[in-house]
Amino acid sequence: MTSEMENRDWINDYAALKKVNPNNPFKVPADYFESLGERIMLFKNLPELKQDGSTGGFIVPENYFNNLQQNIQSRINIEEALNTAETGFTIPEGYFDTLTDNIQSRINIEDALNTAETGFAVPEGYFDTLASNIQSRINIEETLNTEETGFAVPEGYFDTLADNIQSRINIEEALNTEETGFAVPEGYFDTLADNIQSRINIEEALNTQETGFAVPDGYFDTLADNIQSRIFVEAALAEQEEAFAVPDGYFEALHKNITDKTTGTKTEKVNVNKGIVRRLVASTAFKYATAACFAVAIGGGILINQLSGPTDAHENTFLHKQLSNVPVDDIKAYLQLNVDAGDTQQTVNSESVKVDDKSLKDALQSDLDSVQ
Amino acid sequence: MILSKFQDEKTRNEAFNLLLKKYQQKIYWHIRRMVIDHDDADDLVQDVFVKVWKNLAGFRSDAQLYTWMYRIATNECITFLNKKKQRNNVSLDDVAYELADTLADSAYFSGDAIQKKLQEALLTLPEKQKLVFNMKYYDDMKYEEISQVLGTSVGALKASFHLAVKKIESYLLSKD
Repeated sequence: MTSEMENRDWINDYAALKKVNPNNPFKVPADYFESLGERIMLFKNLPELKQDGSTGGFIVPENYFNNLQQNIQSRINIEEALNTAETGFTIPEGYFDTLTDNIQSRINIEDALNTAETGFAVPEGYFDTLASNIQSRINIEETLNTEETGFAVPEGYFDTLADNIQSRINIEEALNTEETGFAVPEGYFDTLADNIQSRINIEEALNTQETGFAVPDGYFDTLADNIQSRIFVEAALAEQEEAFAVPDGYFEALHKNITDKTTGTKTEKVNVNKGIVRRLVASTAFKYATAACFAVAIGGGILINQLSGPTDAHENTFLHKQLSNVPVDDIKAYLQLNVDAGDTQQTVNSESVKVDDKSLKDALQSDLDSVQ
Repeated sequence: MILSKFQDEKTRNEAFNLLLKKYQQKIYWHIRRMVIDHDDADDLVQDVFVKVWKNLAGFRSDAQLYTWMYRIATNECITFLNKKKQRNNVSLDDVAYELADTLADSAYFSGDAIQKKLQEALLTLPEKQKLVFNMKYYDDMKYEEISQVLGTSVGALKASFHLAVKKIESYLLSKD
């Protein structure tokens, strides 16, 4: 039997098994065994690579594997929560177990709060902060009652404190009452402080002695008239300037004429046709008679001038003609402003010289210039 | 010769390549007949040779090298099937039915109806009887060699083989 079992003769005892094809009924993919050895060689190196700690060029964040299990579990929980089809919301664990009791407690609380017997109400959240408020009050009271407060009050201060407070209250009420018996314009007290300050500034400005400038008494009373007079005088002087005139081109030719005369050169002579010269007087007697007539005329003129008064002479001057157009009041105002009383008379009388028109005009012009 | 080369670190890879070429198919078919599915067999054969690589330096030459590798492969198969049973929380019989379905749907089974029926009969056997039958029927191994692989006495192996053959014969006769 043993020898039979070591060869394939044993199969003869089993007719059904003997009919089976003894060849291998399995097959493998094409070229499987050609690459099997190579793959096993690669596969056998994997544990060595793992033992070396090599990660094949890949790295993971620090402590990645320490938290990996928790992260996966969290992810699973999230996925399960998201995949919950019923509500899409989550509730704390055991929520529904205590829900009935919680609702009943809430109902009891609401009933207690809404009961009509109390008749009192407290601000919202009052009882939430009541404990801390009481504790704070206790701390403050303890602090105030301690002897070492660090502050001091006058002796008997607290004895009169109540009366003082009551008096202060009465005063405030009296001040605030509308029945004062006096009335002020609306908004008076709003602007009172500003008005007082403005008034103080004005008073200080008026009373200051250090202005640095002073004007004569009554200066501002006559200022307007003086200014008006000055305007008329200025206008008169301007007309005087325009009263003198020279021929056209006079000043252009003046320089040339002076130069010709000083250097002896003659200007270009104009071709002038000389006319016929006729002698009207040819005798010597006629010359003496003519001279005598001139002498008589000059002498008579001087005599007449001596006999006539200064008023007549003055009335014939140019200044008199010009000033005759100016109103008398304006001239008076001008003289009061610019000339002292009696100044002109003093000057004219004391000089004992004859004052001609030119001197007087120059004096007036100088005076005007100095004023300006 | 392979073992001597393997002892030298310079020729260790060369020795392992020779080992692969010589035994890879025998080990593969031994595993494949146990787990039926090619992909499972592929994973297991790689695991077996990795273990061979790791432990070959400590292999004692008082045993046959190929029986030692068969033993490793057998243990890997038994471990795999037990894990599969535990993973699916089913009995070993249920695993047998599952493997039978796999055999029916497998693209890598070219046997005829009788051969398929033989495989189905083998799936009904206990692991040790199946191992003994496969090594005797397909690999034509001697009882002494099988004893070295399974660590079982020759007498026990003969009894197991006898029981296995009777069951298979009965299966083949009883079912069409």
